[in-house]
Amino acid sequence: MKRIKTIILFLLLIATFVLNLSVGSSNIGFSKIWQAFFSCDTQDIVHITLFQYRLPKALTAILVGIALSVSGLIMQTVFRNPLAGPYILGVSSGASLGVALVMLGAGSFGLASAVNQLGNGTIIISAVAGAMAVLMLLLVVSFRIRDIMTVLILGILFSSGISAFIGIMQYFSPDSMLKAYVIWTMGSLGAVDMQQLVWLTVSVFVGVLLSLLSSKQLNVMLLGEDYARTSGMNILRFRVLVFTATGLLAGSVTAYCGPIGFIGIMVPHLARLLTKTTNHQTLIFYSSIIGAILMLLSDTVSQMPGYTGVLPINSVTAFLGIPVVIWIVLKNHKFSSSF
Amino acid sequence: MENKLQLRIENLTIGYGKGKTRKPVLTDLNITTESGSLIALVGSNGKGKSTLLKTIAGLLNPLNGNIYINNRELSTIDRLSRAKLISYVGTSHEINKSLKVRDLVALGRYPYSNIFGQLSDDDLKIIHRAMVDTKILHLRDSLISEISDGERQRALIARSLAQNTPIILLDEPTAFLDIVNKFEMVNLMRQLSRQLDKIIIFSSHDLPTVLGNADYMWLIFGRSIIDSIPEELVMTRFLNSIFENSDVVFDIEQNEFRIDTKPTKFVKLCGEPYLCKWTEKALMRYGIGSNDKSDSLKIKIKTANESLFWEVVDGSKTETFESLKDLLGHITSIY
Repeated sequence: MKRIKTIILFLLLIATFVLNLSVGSSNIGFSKIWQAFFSCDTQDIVHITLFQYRLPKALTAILVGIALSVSGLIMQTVFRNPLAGPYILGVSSGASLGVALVMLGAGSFGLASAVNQLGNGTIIISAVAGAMAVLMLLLVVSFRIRDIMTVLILGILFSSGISAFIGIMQYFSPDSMLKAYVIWTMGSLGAVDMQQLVWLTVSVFVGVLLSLLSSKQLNVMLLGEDYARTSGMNILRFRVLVFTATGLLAGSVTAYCGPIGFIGIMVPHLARLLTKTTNHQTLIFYSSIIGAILMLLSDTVSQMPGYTGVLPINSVTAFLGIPVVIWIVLKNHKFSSSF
Repeated sequence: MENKLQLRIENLTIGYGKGKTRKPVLTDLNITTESGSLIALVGSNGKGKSTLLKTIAGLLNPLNGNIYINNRELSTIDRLSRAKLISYVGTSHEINKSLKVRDLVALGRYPYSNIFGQLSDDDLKIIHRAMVDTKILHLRDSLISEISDGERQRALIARSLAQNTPIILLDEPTAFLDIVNKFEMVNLMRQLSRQLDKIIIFSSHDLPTVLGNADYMWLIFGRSIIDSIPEELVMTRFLNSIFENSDVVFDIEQNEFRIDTKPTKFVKLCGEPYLCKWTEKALMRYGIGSNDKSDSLKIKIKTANESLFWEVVDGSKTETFESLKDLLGHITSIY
């Protein structure tokens, strides 16, 4: 049964991957993709579209899906909150602040042209720096405060404070900068080039690896902190480990693709529903596959097959995620007691 | 029985806070105990039962003094080795309710398994054994949310057995259980302490379940602990002296707490001892006690055809009542 589920999920992953590759501003047939994939004709327009644009985008979607889902799973266990996700820690807000400081801050000082020249690189570095800054702050707080719920509340407050600050910056920014920033907040998978893809792959790989290494601790955390500590677990080391993992997973994704919501909340629940287990090794594996499938699907939908425009990916994941979260809430009447 | 494990508490002061803000709860404790003992830590709420258990478990640091296990100071033992010596059963409300019983028990193997938490055949045998010992094997595939409070408590004890520690600490294991489950729980702990030669320390504020079951009672008295055999504390009437300033008394003969009502009027009860006892209990609520001297009113309790009736003899007049309710109505109307 378990094996059948795994096979079905892998088939779905492959199907959504191929579908994603074939859909875009011009629809390319499956056979053409197959040909172009193995052809070495670098002048062929299909080949160029595939390797320059669609393949990096599809791979980005997979990495984003894995990263957000795994970080969401970890956060839900660590904070014992079914609605926790990368957002809740303020990781996404931190990244947004970094981006806002560069895009809006520099713009309001009349450095608009300078920002344009700096390009993507600055945005990425500032986003990761912002995410990591919030994480470091929370880590320092969690050294002093034992109660994880207090840390969670502080995360939410940091996040709100940052949003308020960004709001003020937006108010004082020139229109062109504001638009660039707003577009970034809508999220985009298409802006990632090959070099960035390598960095994204590395950070997601390390993030998932750290998550797998802490899966045993995550399992014992399901009993609460007193049981975890009397089982011989080092809580401090555990927090450093999982916060680093979350920072890498959510921070890097937010930097490259903007804050993408609901995948992190929704996917772990789907994985639990499907596997009926609480073992985090299994859940990390299934969350990764389901997250990748859903991101590929969301991206395919956002291409609006047949039209030239592209929907903001953040809106698509929200439309996809909200009904699923509502369904989960209604299905488990005792939603909160399952944690 | 030669290699008895010893737990020694020496000049221990426990409580919360540090420096100027420190609030000692219990001070200068000196207690020693050995494996094969079931110890009841008794005291009213907020007197430091949890604090002591958490300090021994390593969840709180002592404010002063030391805890030794076989002459090794607790703080010099690393986390994992300590987790192989002491296991802790706390409250269950933080536990994820979608865990299966089997998985919950398996988490007891945490200090022994590798980095990925894989379980060996030996681990699985120990987990199975723990579920057999606590009589929850039939529930192994149930979710924690599906089982009763008593079963959940058993599952938590099974987890702690799977942790295979010579010392088990339980914080209020009988707190939310009904009376039958309470006795079964204490009985289970006694069996485990004997058969597996463990030191089991559990906190409770429920004296009747402790008496006759626990080997030792650590009674919190003021800021110190009296280490004694429970029955001895009863016989020396010490248990009553701790409730001196309260309306609640511990009834030595009935093994129960009750509100101390001093009867102002008396009747004389005749009949089977257990019938007299329970009739008296009912009368006591109205401030009426029983003695042998009473010559004004005499109540005879009789059984006939498996039904009860009460005869009230007042001088030459005799009245019969077929229910306790009628009797009480009559008596209270006279007095």
